[in-house]
Amino acid sequence: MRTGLAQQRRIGAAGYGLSVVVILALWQYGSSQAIIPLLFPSPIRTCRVAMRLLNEGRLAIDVVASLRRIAFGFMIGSSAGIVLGVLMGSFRPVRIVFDPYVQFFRALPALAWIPAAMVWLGTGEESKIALLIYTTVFVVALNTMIGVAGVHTNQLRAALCFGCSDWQAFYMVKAPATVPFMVTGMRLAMGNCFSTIVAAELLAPKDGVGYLIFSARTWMQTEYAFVGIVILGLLGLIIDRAFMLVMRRALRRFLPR
Amino acid sequence: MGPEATRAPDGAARAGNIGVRHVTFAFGGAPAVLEDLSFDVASGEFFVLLGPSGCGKSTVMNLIAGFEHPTKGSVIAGGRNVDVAGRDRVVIFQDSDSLYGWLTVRDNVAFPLRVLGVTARERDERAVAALKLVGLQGHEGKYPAELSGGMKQRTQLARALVLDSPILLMDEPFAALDAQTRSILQDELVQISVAMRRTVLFITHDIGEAILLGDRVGIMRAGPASSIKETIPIELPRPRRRGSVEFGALYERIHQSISEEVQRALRREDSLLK
Repeated sequence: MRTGLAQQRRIGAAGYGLSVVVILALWQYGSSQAIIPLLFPSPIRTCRVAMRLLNEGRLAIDVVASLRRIAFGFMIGSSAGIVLGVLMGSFRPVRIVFDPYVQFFRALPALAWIPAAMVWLGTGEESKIALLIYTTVFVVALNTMIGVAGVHTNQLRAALCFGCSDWQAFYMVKAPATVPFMVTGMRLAMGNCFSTIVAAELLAPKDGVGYLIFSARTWMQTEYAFVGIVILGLLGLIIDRAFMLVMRRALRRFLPR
Repeated sequence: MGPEATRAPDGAARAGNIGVRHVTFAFGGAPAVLEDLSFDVASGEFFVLLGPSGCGKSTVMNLIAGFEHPTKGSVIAGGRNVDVAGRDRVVIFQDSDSLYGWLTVRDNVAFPLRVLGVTARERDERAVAALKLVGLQGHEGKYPAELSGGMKQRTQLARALVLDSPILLMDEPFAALDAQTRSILQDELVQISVAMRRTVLFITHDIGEAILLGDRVGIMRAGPASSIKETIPIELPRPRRRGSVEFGALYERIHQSISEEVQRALRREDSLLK
């Protein structure tokens, strides 16, 4: 059984590696066919620029700046989303009042709020983090609300039979039963944060991966933009995997088996 | 204590009597599900409620559990009017979805004790003892998702027994199990309820199960506006076996009674369609 699992993992890793090689080969080929190579830099050229930026220290500065903003926005947005979702899932009047707004804002991209964020909060860190909070809060709230409202009736009825107070029924049954929904909401929100950071760093930037991508346009340095895109994608992938790894370790018993 | 044990009357000391008095129940403005329903269950009695599908058996259980409230009439348990759910009337549900998937079998069984504020050590001891009683020793560390259907229902039973509640309300707890597991659990339930002298209200649509388990069987009329049609005492000695002549005679009698109700429901449906 164990050997079979190890073999499956080896096959999976080999397939993964092969797909990366194929994508890089296609990228290289596509780039070589471009009429103006400057507009479509090859992976080799992109890699060289990335190494240069890394050696100069600029890449680290941009990555750290973006991750710091994402961390703040994600944590504040997730906390607010969980509180809002719990209230909406637990109390019908709160759900009736807030649900249309949650649905309205959930469908509205953070990009649409850039002008308003600039006017209200200026062009500093506040507006960037506010956009990240915005892109996090509603998706976490919605998933949490679905989780709280969807707790099995019989789980709650059993708790009532055992003499649970409302508060005990909440923290002993509803909250743990909702954990998988919260985690799903937070995972989706993390993806939103990586999409939004590029837009957020349009606001009078001085650092960040979004800034790296947009500043490349000014000087026609498409390879810089490609470095930013690849780095952002890789960071999204790594952080998603790390997030799920931590969640599975820390909250293993709450997640579906 | 074996299944041959006699059921000793334990009176009001266990506070396990149930009284349903002239109960009418309707969901909102819909036609009444139950109308003028009355019956009593004595303390320590194993009472089976039997009836055609949709006659309101589970609604009766919900009313006694305190999950629903009568539109008219009253429900009494242990001498007190039932207003809300309480630990004197523990429910064992048909589906095992009432178990908490994030807790181990031991922690699920200890859950009611945690609500009561019992110390962790005592909780563990009592949970392990209850699990032993239902034959789940060795599975304490498993999660519900790792259990078979029968083991899940045993866990529910252990969780109900750990509280020492005088009344157990069981809503078709074995309906989803295979025939062999069901038969084993039926035997075990009789042994446990006799040994622990609990009042059991057991809901089923299986006539054989009702005769195997019950001291008395209450047959419900077809709904809507259902009530108790008749109650039949089951005076067969335990352990009961399906093959006996007396068992067969009782089966026929109850089957006849329920068939009349089903026919009546079908005639009513036909007249509504015309």
